[in-house]
Amino acid sequence: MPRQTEVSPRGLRKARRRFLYLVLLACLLLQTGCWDRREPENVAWVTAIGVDTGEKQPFLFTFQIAVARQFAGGQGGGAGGGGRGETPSQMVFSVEAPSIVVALTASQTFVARHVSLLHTKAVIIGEEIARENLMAFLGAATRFVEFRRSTQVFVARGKARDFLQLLRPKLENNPAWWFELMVAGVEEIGYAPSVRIHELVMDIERDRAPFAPVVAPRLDLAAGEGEIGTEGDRAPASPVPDVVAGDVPRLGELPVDVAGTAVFYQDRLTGYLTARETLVLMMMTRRVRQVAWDIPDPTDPELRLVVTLSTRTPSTLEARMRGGRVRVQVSVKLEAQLASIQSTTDYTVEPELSRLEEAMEKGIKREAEAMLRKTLHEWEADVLRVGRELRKAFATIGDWHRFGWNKRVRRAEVDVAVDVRIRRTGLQRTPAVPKR
Amino acid sequence: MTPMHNLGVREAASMVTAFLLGKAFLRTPVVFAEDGGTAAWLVALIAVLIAACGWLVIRSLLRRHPGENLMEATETALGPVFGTLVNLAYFLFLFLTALTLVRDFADSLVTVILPRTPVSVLIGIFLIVGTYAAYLGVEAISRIAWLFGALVLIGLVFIVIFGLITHAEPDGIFPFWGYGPAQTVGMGIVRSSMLGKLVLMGVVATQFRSARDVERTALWALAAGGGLLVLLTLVYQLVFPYPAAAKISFPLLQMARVILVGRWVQRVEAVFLFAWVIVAVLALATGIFATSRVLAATCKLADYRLLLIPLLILAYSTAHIPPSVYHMEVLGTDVLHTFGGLIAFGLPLLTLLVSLLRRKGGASGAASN
Repeated sequence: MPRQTEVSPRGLRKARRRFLYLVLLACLLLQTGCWDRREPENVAWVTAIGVDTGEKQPFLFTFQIAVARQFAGGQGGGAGGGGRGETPSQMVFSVEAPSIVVALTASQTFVARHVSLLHTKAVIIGEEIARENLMAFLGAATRFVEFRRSTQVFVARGKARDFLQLLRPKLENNPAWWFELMVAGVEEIGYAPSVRIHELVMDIERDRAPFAPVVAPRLDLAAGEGEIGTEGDRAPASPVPDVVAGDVPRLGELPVDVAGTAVFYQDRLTGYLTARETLVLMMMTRRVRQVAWDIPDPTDPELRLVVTLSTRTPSTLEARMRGGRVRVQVSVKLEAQLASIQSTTDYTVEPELSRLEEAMEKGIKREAEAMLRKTLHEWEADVLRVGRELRKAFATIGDWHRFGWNKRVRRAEVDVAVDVRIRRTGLQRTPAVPKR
Repeated sequence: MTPMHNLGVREAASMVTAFLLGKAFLRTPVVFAEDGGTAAWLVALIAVLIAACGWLVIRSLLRRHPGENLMEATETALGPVFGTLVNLAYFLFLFLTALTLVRDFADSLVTVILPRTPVSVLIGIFLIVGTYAAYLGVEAISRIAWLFGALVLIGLVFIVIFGLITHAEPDGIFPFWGYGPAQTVGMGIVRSSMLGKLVLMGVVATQFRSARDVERTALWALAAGGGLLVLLTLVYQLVFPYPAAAKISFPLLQMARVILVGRWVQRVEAVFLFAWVIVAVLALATGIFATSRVLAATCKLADYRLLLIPLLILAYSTAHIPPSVYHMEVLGTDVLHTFGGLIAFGLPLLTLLVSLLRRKGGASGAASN
């Protein structure tokens, strides 16, 4: 009988069916979810991480964990920082560890649920770490799969631990929601930038001047010792405070501040820009919308004149190299709306209108140049991102490295041109004056 | 007997595109960034152009041997001994391609989303699924590729657009020539090996309705696969500019993870994972099919499906040999994506030259298989 060499169609169908059963059986038996399943109710979601210097270990990690059942069913409804009932809507604890992974593991010795960073909204870096040991933390964190580069980053004046312990929002039950609202709010008014871990790491790796918003615990307010406007050390009555978080003149609850910018040289914190300086930087580098700005009234410098400013057309930056020196031309174009005039001068008509525009241009230019003297010439921090423009002139990475922009930042000549147009005059056309 | 199908141009182009992009979701953009620095996208572009030239060589060989696929044309031109050796080289190239894909993919999943699942289980599952798809045949794979192609494309476009909106730094492509023109062009030529998978077109050439369909398919696959490769590399280096671009383990996944537009568009890696898994499974199935098809032709077996289970066992066993991700990188990047072009494009060129010298095959280029 001849040997059969070809498979019959029926046999082939049978074999195919058997193979299909085998595949289905394998799929059923090897459901990978069995290994990696994680029920949400068994997870402790970390909403914010604080990083400080430890006493016995390199780091002291502080974790703010959301107590989800306290705010289930909605964001609103203030509950005295405690959500429903007396239980707070967040718990805060600190662990010393050589890295964040070890800190999370150590947390499992007292937190029954799996501590997860998958929904972390903010990382607060303590001042000491920011000045000395930032990359040791960031290097380990960015490798860790649960850590997201889209997380907001802040630098704390003082201890990040104090900030997280004092952070007990009254209006938001969900602590993560407070961070989202806060970041959006301070960025909108231009008092602090919104910076994510990704941007911070990119800036450090690209050898630029990284920056981050500043937060501060208000231990004085927490102790009921806050004060407003002491002579000399506080800002004058101005809508744009020339102070950094921690010094905002105020009283009352929620003893934490968010204002100002922490500026780094490479991976080390070099100094802080005040809220006012931050706003000037924002005008030069980003688009601002309806931010409050004040200048001394041209007719009476004792009085303040307030306008709202918006970017008219995006600011431009041109960088040129001449004889080894870098010359930078920044052009800022703004439009203004009168918001508050304390004097009786009518700035809605010429020539006062032009006079006011000129005064504002001079004022912003002066403050911009002062801010740049501090950042570029003192701290050698390229906050304007001039390097971005300069790189285009080089053909290869080797050429760019040989040029050594970082060593030339201090000697860069920057010319700031500010053009302000008062477009609208608010609801009042001429000033209201008492009848004499 | 190997079932003879009539492959449609759209379906086959989708399949070849998935095969070309199989590893683009893993390390490919990082390799380009390591090679070219700020000129990573340029390295990718040059690699695609060189691969297009490589395809012209394969096409010329197929034109010269109408009605034959690459393996048959190779044997006709080089004779049974050398022809078999060259076909075995194609087999080895395709087998290593499938092997590195499944191991890299499994390792990535363990690192990123399934940390407690044994890698052997993931390798097993993907090989079983890939083998089953290969068993169903190239027509089934290509139709699935076409079916899911639009979804994958939407996912990729979504990531590209939102990646750019969120974090693009336009100066990421400067200095323009990266490590220099010589390095950029040189590495572009070397990395054309990454698109050596185009050899697949030679393997399935006889399963098209006409030679014109083969050429149209290759053209579309090169345009779509090559174009997406360059685009993804470009966007990646704008979001993760040099030198960070060369330091990321899973470039496109990280890009998806940093996307954040307002409160509502964030954590979009689910979209990415969807596209990633589909493309990886399709590429693996195509790789397993092509590997078994070449081996069957080399061994003069009428039906490639007889080899599927033995190949599955062989792939499963060998996928466990590299002890770490590093060793997989050496195998994938330093070996396969450095010298693979010599097999994928060099051997067809050699075969074509011998065919011309020995006056084997048809004299004209008018193929009508």
